[in-house]
Amino acid sequence: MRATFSGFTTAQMALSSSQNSLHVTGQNIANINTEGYTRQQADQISLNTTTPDQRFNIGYGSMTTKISQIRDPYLDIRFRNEVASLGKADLVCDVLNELENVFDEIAKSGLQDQLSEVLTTLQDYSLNPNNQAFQEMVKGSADSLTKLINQYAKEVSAVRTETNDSLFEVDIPNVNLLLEKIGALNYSIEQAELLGSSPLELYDERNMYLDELASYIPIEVKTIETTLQPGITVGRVQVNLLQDGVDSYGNSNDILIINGYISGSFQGSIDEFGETDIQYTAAVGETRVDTAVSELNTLIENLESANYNIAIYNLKVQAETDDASISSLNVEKASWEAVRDGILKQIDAMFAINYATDERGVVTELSFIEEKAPEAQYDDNGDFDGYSSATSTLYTIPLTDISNITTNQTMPTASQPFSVDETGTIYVQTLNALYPISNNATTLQLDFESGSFAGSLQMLNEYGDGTTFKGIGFYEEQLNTFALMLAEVFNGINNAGVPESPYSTDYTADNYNPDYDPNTDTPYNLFTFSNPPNDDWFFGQQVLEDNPLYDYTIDPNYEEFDEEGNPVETFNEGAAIQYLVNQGIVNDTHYAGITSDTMDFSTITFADLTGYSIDDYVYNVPEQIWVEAEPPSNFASMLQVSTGWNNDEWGIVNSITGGASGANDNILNMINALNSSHTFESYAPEYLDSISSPDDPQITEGDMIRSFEGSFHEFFANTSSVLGLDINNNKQVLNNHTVLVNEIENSKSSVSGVNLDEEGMNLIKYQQAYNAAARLMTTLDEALDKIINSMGLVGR
Amino acid sequence: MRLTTNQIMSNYQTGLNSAAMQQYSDMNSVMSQRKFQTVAEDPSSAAKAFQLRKQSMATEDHIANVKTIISKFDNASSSALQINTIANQVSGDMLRAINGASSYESRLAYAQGIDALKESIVSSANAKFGDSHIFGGQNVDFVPFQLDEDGYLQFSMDGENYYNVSDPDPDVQEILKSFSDASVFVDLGFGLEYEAGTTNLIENSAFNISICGLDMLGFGETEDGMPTNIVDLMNDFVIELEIDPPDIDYLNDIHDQFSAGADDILDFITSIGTRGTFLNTTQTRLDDSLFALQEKIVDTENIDVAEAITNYSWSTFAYNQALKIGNGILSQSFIDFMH
Repeated sequence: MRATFSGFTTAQMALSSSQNSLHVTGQNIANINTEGYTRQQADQISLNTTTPDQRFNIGYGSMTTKISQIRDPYLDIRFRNEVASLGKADLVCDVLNELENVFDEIAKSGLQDQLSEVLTTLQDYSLNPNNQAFQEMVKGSADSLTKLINQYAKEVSAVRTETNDSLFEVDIPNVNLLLEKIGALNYSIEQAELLGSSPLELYDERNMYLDELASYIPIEVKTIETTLQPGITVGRVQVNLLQDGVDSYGNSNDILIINGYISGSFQGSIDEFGETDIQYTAAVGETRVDTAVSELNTLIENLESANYNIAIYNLKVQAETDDASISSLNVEKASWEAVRDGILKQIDAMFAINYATDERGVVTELSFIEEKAPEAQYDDNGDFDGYSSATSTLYTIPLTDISNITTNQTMPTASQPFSVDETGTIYVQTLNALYPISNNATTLQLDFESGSFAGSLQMLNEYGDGTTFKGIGFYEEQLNTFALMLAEVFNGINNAGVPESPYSTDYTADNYNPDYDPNTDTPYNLFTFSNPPNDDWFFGQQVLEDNPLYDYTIDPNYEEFDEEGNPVETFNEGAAIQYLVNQGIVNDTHYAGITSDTMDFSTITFADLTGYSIDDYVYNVPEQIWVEAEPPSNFASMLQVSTGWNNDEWGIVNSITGGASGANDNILNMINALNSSHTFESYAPEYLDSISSPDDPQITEGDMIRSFEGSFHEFFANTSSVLGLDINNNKQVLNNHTVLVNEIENSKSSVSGVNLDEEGMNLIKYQQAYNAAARLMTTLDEALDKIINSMGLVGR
Repeated sequence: MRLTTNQIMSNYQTGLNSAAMQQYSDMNSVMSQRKFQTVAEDPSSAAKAFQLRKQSMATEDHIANVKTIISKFDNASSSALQINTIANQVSGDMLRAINGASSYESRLAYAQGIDALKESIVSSANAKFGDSHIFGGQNVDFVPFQLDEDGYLQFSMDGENYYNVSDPDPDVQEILKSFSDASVFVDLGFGLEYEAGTTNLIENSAFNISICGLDMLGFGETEDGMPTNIVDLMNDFVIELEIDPPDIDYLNDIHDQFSAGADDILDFITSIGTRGTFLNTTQTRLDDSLFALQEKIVDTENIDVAEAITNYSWSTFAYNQALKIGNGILSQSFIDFMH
């Protein structure tokens, strides 16, 4: 039987539910313009009880169970994936636009016009070769050209600096701050959830930060149900940084960068080759190392609890290190063996824990090796007598100190032999001692597929090698190549008339004069590079460029003797070439139709080398390999009109045919040089750096990143066109991503956004429900009033 | 699909921004008269434009060169004509001295007159155009011609070593021949090509501006040992006139040779004229090329004004309409109609 006054409760709860819904509607309207706000709704249920012996149940009204958000997690995933691509494209476009300001000469006068100006002055000079004033005009024009190249180089360098600064000073700190904020929010959210509340606004804030984070780096967000206290679980948010590929165990290379409220941080650095890197350092105490240790111990515990006498052998722990920091811990166990009840158990668990994310680090190996495996026992008669027990002996090699190798350690008997201290250092407990096997911080080298970090790294590090992306380095190298070629060609022409000049236009080993002394002989260079790093550097000559052999000397009389003074090797051309090929000094493609597989080094001679004039040269005593000079790498910023020309110590050599005062054949050569084709070969900066050490000349043809055939004008116009095309393509890519992001944003907004029409209708809906509930109460009141005040008065 | 208030506003904002951008871009086209403002907007046209600009500037250089050379050749032609006039006068004087002068005194007077005209010819042959001697061939800095102590003509390339133009020594003649052949090429847009792998210019690919006075005045000797150079002939004539009595046959021979030399001057002038005509034709061709190139540049880089203004008007209209739509869709919602 339903209680008389229960109807009032129904009305009161209906009033309360409607009021709650009205409040939620108000909240939605109030936050229509709040960034990241997700539409909320009051979840309402019908309240009823079930009593078995009753024929029917009338409900007790409605109840607001919770306030929830209307959100589609799938759209969040899509949005974050797409926004990462957008972030990358956006940054690439930004930097390319900066470069466009330097290189785009379509609407402004620039380097191409100045080249034409040089040509014009040379043409004038060719008509008046006897008039110094015309040469001064050429010089002035050439000076302007060099200054313009310097300026372009400076501006490109500024683009690099700005991009680097923006990454190091703004983006990385911003991402680190986001990691901290998300971590802090996770903590607040977990605390609120522990108390049973739903911190919706904190969810919104976290989602906003996650969306922002996704524009910098590619991430994957997971929610892991985590037990904080018995019976109390919360959804702990983990954020993984997506990485390419899998490790040798088939596990994903992704890196956990936020685990609940603990996160690491990113750092940027520039390596010795000028390449920008971003590393991630995990927070101490919350790393995959912890997990590895825990899993190892669990395994050992499980085995021990099953009464196994554990023998571990062929257990290999590998740690990948970078700058003495452990970047990952791999535990690779070939097999475990255990003996129980006198029976040998082979446990081919192939247990492996791997958290490697990067194969690039230096690998330091740590091995645990069982010294005595169980083996069959035989009695005096030679009959089988069971197995010997496994002895548990360890070899440990602490990773922090390779010299600290201890042998014959007994297998740990402690139930948890592996441990980690508060600094993150892992220890293994043997019977004798506690050995550290790693140090703390885990610093990882990272690859970014998308996000603005990827865009920054791509622009900063890519040199347009082959078909790869053309970053800032490409344009730096184009300018350097241009400057080098200008100096090389014009110095070559101007020195062509100088007897035995090492600067002729066709600069091969044949016409190189080895007696040339740069300290005493003055070349008639028109262009030089300021502040050259080495006096031996031939201005305008790309040492090692075309003919790497040129830079090596071989002594034909070379003989090597053993300890007793007997010759062990005499000079042999084939061996010499083989050596050069093996060293990567000569690429085997230099041999016409011969590959290194089919090449018979015992018969080949230098004459077989195509493209090289090396007969007059002697080659190859490995110990005597030397590098001619260390060339500077930023030619474009150092190019200048030579001091000698500037001070009129020498000038343009008008004629190399011994003509009279009106002869101008060499000026015509220069005019021709400006108009005709040259082979512009560009090299990666790494190449230039790698030859700085004479002990390790890593010179291969592969280091030449591109070659362009054309005139100076064409070379520069091509650079401008390449940039234009890249901008064009990237804008298209950016537009595509923008459209996609907008679409997803629309879809998100469609699900989670506030619609005023809808909220207006909700206002009416809930108000009417409220009014109806109030009317219910009045009706009930009237009904009761009838019973209470009007009944029993019949006949009165 | 559910449509939210902010979604409508955001999409409207995107659309309005696109319309504004288009209007701005069309406005820029009209203002700058350019089809594209950056290489990225139209990379292939930009590449073409760079090529055309380079060609245009090079053609302008060639036109400037050809104009300068035409002036030089005009000047050379004028000086040569002057020498020719003097030669004609000398020829007449020679005839009169041979046939009309009966006395030693009158022959001496002719001798003095011819001697003076000889000096005039040398002066004309040393004429300058700007800073350069016109008839020095490859030598433009130093006075090419001078008379030695005996009044014979000498030629030099360097201002130090002077060679008698009628020196019978074959080695000297060889040197003079090389002076006469020495060329000075300039680039007039004929391609400027070199034999593959060398610095040897293919002569047809450039224009030789060298004018050597030796070709005009003559050098070397005839088979009979008589100078071919008209100045030396005049000198020999004067010397003979100063002898009393002169060898009339010898004088006649000199005059005959002189007449042949004077004809050579005419040939020389004709040759300069031919080269001048060629230069004029070249200039016309280059002017035409420049015009065509500039037309192409305009076609490639510049807008069609009517089209650009139409585009601008259209994008302005589109932008205004977008603004009006905004006013309609953003102002009201269901809430405005609630009671």
